[in-house]
Amino acid sequence: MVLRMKPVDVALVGGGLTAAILGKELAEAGLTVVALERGGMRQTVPDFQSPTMHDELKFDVRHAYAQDVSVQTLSFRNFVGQQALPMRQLGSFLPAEGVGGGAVHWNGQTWRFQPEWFALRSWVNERYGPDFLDDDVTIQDWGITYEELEPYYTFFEKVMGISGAPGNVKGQIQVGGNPFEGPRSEPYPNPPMKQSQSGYLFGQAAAQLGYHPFPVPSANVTRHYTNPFGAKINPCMYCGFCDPFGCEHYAKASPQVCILPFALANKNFEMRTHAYVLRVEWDRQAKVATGVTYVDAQGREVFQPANMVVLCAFAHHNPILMLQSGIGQPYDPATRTGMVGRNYTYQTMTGAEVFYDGGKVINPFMAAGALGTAIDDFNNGSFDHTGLGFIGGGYIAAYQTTGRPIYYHPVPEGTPRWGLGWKQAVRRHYNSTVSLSFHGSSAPHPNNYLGLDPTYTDAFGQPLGMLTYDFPYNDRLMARYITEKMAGIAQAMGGKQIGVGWLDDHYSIVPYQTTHNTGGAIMGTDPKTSVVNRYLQSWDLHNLWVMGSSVFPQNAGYNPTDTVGALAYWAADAMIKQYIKNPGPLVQT
Amino acid sequence: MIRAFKIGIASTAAALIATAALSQSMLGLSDRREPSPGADPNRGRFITIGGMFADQRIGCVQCHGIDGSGNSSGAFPRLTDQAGWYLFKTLQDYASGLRPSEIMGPIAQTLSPQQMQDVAAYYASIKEAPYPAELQVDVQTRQIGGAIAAVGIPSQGVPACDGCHGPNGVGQAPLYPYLGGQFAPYLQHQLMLWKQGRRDGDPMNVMELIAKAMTAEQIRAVSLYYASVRPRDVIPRDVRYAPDAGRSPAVQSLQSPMGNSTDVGAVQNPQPGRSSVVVPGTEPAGPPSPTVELPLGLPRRPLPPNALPPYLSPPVDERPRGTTTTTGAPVRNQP
Repeated sequence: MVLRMKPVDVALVGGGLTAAILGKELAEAGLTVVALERGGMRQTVPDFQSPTMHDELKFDVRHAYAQDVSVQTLSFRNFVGQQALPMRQLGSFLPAEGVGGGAVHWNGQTWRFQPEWFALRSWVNERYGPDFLDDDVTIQDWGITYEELEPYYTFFEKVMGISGAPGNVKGQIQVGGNPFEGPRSEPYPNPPMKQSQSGYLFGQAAAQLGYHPFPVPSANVTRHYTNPFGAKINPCMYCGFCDPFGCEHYAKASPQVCILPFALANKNFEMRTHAYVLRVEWDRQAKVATGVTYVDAQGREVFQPANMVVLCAFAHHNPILMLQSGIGQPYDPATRTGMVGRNYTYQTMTGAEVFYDGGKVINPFMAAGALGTAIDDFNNGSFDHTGLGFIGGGYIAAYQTTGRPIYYHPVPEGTPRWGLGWKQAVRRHYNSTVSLSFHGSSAPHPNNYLGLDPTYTDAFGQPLGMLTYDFPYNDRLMARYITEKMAGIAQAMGGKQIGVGWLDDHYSIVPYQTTHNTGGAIMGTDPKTSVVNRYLQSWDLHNLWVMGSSVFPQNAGYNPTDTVGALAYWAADAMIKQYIKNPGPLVQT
Repeated sequence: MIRAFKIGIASTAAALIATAALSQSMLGLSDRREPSPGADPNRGRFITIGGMFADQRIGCVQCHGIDGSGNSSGAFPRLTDQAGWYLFKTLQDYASGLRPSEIMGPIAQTLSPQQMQDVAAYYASIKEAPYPAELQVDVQTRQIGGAIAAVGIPSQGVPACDGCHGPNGVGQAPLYPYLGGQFAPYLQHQLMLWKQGRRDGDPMNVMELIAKAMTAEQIRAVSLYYASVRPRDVIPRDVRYAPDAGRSPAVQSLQSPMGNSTDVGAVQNPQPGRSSVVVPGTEPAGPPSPTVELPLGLPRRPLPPNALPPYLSPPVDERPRGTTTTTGAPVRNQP
């Protein structure tokens, strides 16, 4: 028998960053809100305290804060037509579990997208012509502009206490910042981080080559800071245990530090943990969501009626929940019709290493998740794509995120994989190597999508989500072009030797790359090619909303968190100022 | 933390010490006992004993002692084995006035940066100096102080001390000084100086804001807590300072008020086991300590008799000899 809970105004699926944002804003607007989190409660004290927090084996190798794949996972294949197989261990990405979600154990790299990304299709058509790209590059406009989102970016950055050097304040280019960023109305709330030796070496070489180095904007806060809600954030101690750990210093912006205490202060907000949401229930006649069904900590199936349902789960989980609930038309790669699951994108990452062979002292353990120096000269809006045959780009950065002993042991190519030779190489290169990374955009392709697996089911008997993904041709060209530029900088850094990690021939689900999965429930201007409208409201059910990077029509060459947070505040604003007063579609079709 | 880890197992297996030492060097963390490059502890020792002021006969040792063990007056902290870089920075802070002091300010100003490095390297190089007798702190104060050290005071925005200063306050070279075993009056005095805005030298004003968020009573409690803990490798050589030697008391089999035994199977005469932490002074009397040659050039130190219990004798190879028995699985040269 299904238990039936008392109705609430809003049910949030998930208990992470966007759920904390919406929980606070909607509860303060007077609505009753319940957030349904599949994991448990976590707080800075006692859960994130050292020395137990610095257990690299538990948190990094064994993914203590990531999704339990024995309950639910994805199946994966590279191409349409292959047999998809379930991921029985996490690899390429690490969806989070537990209150605070991935914003507990993220690194803190907090980038705004350049304005061009939000109107990518129109921008390409206007600048390079409509025939510049192949039909297989299904980029789209977001239905929102950078100028509309800018105040929400600014507010989110104030909530999180982002530290950085502004590069463009109201159109004025600032020295020391990123000259290629969109105009910001205010500087960052906090000054940039102290720069590392690796960043210094990278910055020197990049500046010599005519590029524009600047400190990476960071959620590792750089001074004592009080955010607009009154949350106190401490300065970062550069201990090098950001990702995938919780911060014991209250120094890394996370829902627990910045937002959640002020959501939980409302009597009409509830964080309900160990609630594993199975599906969104909806009325086929009235075309509205009626609530969600979940499995509680005792294994009982529970129905939570709600007037509004907001999907705040991990990026690919949102569209999969919609597919499992039968909402919207599933995307079919054979006919290229349907919306839900379409335009799944990822991130195109390559790397380079500069080995000084004892010539420099890097001290990689003096680190922080977003401690880095970057150049943005090769992001989408920064350079001319004419004749290159691809669209997109990304930033190149020298990050000094950690020197942990299990994780970090850079060795040149050709080093033995184990044994004495390997150990001697680690000893020689550990403290004398700089790693560069290229953080590239990801273009959508008609064959890359999220669907439901025909064979495998999860612990609740529901079909697994099925991911079909390989690097599209556009991104291979892009990665090759920009990795060459990165290799040029690596050469100029004056090391004894360099190593370049080119993009693999095919995407592999096994090695960790990044947890920047995007798309599947994308936003847009046309209900035929998008799942939600510009306010992140479902085209099909007007009281269903989708948060997070699931709504990105394509992924930019940046980390997604800043945009995810800004979009959540943008959607919360639309809910409170427009939707609650007059429930119905906010964009007429 | 690394060092505590190393010490924790030192009493169980010498072979593991090699592993720990290797991981330490792989980590790139310099042992805080190591002098910083370019600094000469012998030159530092010469300065320490007043060698450069032969006429006035003023030297660090007059107050801080030749082994830097300090005293409980609050003015003379324990310097022994402190991170060299930290001591160097402290001298610089005295010279620049970031830490105002009418005594240490002028002294530090007479030292050149090289001499500061040498002195710091000297006190950092002292491996063992006696600790004072165990401080008697009442249980409640010690618990309050220990809780602040472990998890901070969340309601007042005070982060855990151990987060930076390491478990048991062992310190993390080069930046974070050790607190465990430091004198309570010194710790309390420094925290009060920060609280009153009378000292600087802490990066990003971290310590100042922490001290300002604490009450004087909390400062006292955490200072007493750290004064009452010791880095776990401390084996006092000086019998004057050793706590009462002897066996640990036998476990009494108690009866509940209802007359039932509360014995839960505790060993009547506990002996150190594989995972025991060896508490100094509680070793059972036994044969004289064997001297064990440690690998990797670690200091030769007589181990207490319980450091090498019988179970660490070389394992007996019980496989049948002269046969071709195998387990059946092919040997793979992959880790």
